[in-house]
Amino acid sequence: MKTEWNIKKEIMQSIRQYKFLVVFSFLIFFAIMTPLMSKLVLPELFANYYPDLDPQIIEQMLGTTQTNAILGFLGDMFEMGTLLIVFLYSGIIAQEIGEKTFVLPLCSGKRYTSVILSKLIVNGPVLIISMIGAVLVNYYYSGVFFDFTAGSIKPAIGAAALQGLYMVFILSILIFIGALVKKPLMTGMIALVPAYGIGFIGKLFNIESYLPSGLMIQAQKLMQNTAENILHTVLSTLLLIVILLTISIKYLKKAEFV
Amino acid sequence: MMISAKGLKKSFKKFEALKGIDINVDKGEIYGFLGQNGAGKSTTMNILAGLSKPDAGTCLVNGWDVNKVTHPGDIHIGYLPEEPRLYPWLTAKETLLYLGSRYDKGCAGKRADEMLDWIGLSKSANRRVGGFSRGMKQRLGMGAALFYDNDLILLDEPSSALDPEGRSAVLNLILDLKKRGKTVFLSTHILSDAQRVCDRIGILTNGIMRAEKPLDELLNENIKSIYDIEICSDLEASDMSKLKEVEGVLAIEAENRQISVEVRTQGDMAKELMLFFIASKICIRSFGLRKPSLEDIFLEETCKNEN
Repeated sequence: MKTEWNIKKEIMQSIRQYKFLVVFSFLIFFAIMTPLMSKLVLPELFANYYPDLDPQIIEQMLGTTQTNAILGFLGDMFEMGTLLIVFLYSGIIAQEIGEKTFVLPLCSGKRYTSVILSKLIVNGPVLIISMIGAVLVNYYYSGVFFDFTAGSIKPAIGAAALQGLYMVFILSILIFIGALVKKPLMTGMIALVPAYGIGFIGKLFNIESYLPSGLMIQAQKLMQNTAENILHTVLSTLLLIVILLTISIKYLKKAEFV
Repeated sequence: MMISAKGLKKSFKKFEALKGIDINVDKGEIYGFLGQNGAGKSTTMNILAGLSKPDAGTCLVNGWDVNKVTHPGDIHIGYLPEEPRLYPWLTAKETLLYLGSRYDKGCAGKRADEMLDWIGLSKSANRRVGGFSRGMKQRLGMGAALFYDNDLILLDEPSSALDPEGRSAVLNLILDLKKRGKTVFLSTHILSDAQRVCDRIGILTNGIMRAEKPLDELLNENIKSIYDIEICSDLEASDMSKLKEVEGVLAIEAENRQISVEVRTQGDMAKELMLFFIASKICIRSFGLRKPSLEDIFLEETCKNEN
């Protein structure tokens, strides 16, 4: 009953605050718009810049294929999707602490571990499933616009799952920073630094395979059938998620709710 | 002993909120915790609820050392904060079910219905809390505090947002809890409420416990040497001068048929005054030593502190 209600509460919160709806519509919107832009808007822009060029040459220059369109969508999701998740979920724990809605549940016997895990159990799979759904939509529309040349759908699903896992990592960053700073907006601002900066560090020290930012690279490679060491990256990310959550719980156990 | 705190200290940066207070609350007692705004009441309540740790001192609540508690829920107390913060997107019933999820499904549902009925929110059971008034939120918070039927209940200003009817209901409930052997730690600004229901009073000013005594003892200790007498007819000027001449009388205040006589010591003064009225053939309707209210004592204690 205890855990059941924790999960139920998180589902109700995400539905009633329209979080699931926002995530899903945002992803689907870009899943449809990315190939549409590549098919209709980009050639039009090129034609305006180079009016003398033949439309067929422009199409060859852009070189848009189904695979490229999916890769473009995955890239967009890293940039804009991260921003959306950061600000949509910045209050995932900070708001509860800051507004003291955490007080009554704690006094009525809720455990920090259970509360935090419920948040991840509910929102994590929703992000991964939404991402897979969006990539499937993107796969279909890219196929319709540029022919179904990408082959099997499996790599696209795998790439979406990796991208989804990266979003779960962002969630764990938000929980960690939220537990420390207790203010949603500040949490969001600070979370942007590791969310985008981790890729830079990975490149700088050539350790991307062991960092969550490596998931984005692996997703791109998966689409091009050149992926390797996916397991390293996935396990490293999972380990980082566990570490961030453990520190958050330990910190909350010592925190004061005054 | 349900609460035993010794030398509790708590500071926020340079501000000393609690300067080493002691609190003792026996089982089955209603303890009134009084103090002005900023006296340190909420800081104390947070420590007792396990939400905050003292900088120094020991504090046992319901047998638990709050310094060692990592989960406030382990103390097994009912706690109503001054402004209960609830999830606005949950309904009243969902709030109780979520907060009361230690019970199994069937029991929790039944208990939630009972509590909603008792706090007068049955008709709003399926309304979201975001649309509730402050009073309704306070009632729901009260329902959450009492959901588990814990032996110790901490109530921080439970009636401050309620209308007179709701306030009276809360006070009756507190008395009912006492009948059922529960211990209630009640922090309130409404001194008449404390006087009505409390067994023991603690007065906190500027982080220092000024008085901690059973209510009766506190009231008796502060009895002034003033007799309030109601007579059947107006006091004539000649009788007034004679009364002033009675040995031991310091001052007299008379308004219509109401006379207040301040005497040097209580001693045999009641007898002396009675004899005077009988000798003067003045009919007496009521006669008694003035008893101070809790408000008088509280104001005196806070004035002492300011001086």
